[in-house]
Amino acid sequence: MSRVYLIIFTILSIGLFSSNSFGKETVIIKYKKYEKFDLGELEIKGSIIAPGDLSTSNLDVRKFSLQIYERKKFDDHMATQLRSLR
Amino acid sequence: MFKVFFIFSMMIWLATANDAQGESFKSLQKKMEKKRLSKRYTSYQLYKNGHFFSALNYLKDYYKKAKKTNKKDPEMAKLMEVLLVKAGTESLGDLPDHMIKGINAPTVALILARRMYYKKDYKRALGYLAKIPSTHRLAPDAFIMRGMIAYEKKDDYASLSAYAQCSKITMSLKGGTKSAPLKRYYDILSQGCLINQARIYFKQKKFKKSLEFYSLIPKTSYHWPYIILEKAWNYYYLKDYNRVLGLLVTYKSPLLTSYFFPEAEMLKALAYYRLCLWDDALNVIKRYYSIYKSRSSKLHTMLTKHKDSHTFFFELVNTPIEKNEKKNMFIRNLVVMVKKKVKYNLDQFSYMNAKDEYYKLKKEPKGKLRSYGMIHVREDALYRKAKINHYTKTTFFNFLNDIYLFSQRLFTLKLEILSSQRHMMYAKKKFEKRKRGDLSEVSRQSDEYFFGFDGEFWADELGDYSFGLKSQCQQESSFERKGEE
Repeated sequence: MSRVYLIIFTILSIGLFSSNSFGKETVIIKYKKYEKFDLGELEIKGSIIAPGDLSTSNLDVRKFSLQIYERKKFDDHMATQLRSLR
Repeated sequence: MFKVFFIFSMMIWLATANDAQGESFKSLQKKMEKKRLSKRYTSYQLYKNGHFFSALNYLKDYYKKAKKTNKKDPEMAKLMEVLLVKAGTESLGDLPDHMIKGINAPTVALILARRMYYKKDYKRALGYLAKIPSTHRLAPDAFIMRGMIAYEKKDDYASLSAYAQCSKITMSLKGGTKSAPLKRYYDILSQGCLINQARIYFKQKKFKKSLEFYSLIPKTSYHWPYIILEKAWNYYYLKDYNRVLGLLVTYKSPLLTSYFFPEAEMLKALAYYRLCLWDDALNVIKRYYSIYKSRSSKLHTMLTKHKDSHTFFFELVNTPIEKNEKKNMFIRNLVVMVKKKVKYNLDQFSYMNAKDEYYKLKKEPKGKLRSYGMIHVREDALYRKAKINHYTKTTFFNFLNDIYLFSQRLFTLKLEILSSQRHMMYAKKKFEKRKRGDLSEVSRQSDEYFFGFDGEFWADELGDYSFGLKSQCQQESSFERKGEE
């Protein structure tokens, strides 16, 4: 049993002392919570043929009007009246 | 219905009452067996005997073979006039123009004028119409045709003038007769001329002037149920949409249940649309599809099954109303509308006379004259029966076509309303809450009074209703779209 403990202790100590951080600087990594991109400041090589602003403020809805029926004259009624004469 | 038929039958008989005395049918037939009788003489004797259709057939045979000079015979022309009143103008339908144009009778001139009108030979038509004196009983018909010819030639002024003359002459003829049925008939003609003047002003967009002429038609007139829709169109263009809706709701009254016009539903939906009451407009359209579609399907089935029949529609219109009611409301209403038309009554009267004469001839002793009479009078009766059948069938088909046509137009309106609703939604607008119906929204003349509606239709108020709805079109407000829930 004591031999088992000795082997485990040896492996652990090798693992601890063989790390690269031993004798080096500690690096702390922090991730940014918010990142802003200013697309207007981006530079593109070549001639710009499209506007840089890709957003749309209002939905541009085109309203199509259908031709609604509205009576203009009573020619058909007059023709019916004539046909009903003697 | 019997009253209407009685009026028109009495009108014609009283106009040309004659003591029918002459050689008896029996003796005339005996003479014919022994020697050859002239068609002139036979025709005249048959007329005196009261066999008008037989007399007219002999007269037609006379004119078919007569020389040009004989056609101008004034006595025969006079006889032709009288017989055409008894038998109807369609009796000359089988004779070509060249055979009858020499006959110096105003009724024949009217027949020829009508033929020329339908051939669009207006110059010749006017030439024939000039032969009808203004004191003749057919002078109103001549002026109506003049008015139509001027209208076709786009001369509205001449057309209005002709219709004004028509009204004047008809009133003069009415004053010259003591017969009540004839007076009523002249009233119908006179009102028809007034209505045509209103229609011309409508086409010219003089809507107030048009309404003035419509207001001259009394509510007891046969024309009145039909002009409600025409008046409503005038108010539509005057932007008085409340009055349009008030006029059209008149068709819901119990007195006018027989009158249904798909166009009235279209105009109702349009009026709601113009008031921006889109939900109401959509309700009208929805009701049109749900209620009228099923009724029109049954009508469609019946018409398709009997479209080639020469007798079905005649029998349908002569069936008692109670039996038609069981079939379909549309069929029942259409039959009632057809039976109230002047044309139907004149044709029916003519048919009944032909039938009566046929059975009268059947009782006479056998012979050449009887055989001739029976063959021709039977043909005359069958022709008139087919004519009534065709007229009724045309009315039914036109009605069904109207249902489908306005169904399509209402669908277009529905799309327009849905588009407007969507446009409002995207523009982040909605209508404000409002109360319905207010007296301040009713526009009325100084002689129009306000009476509240308590669910009753009073006969003298019919046709004078107005709604009091406020237009929603100027009441849009903005709103912030809520977040998704």
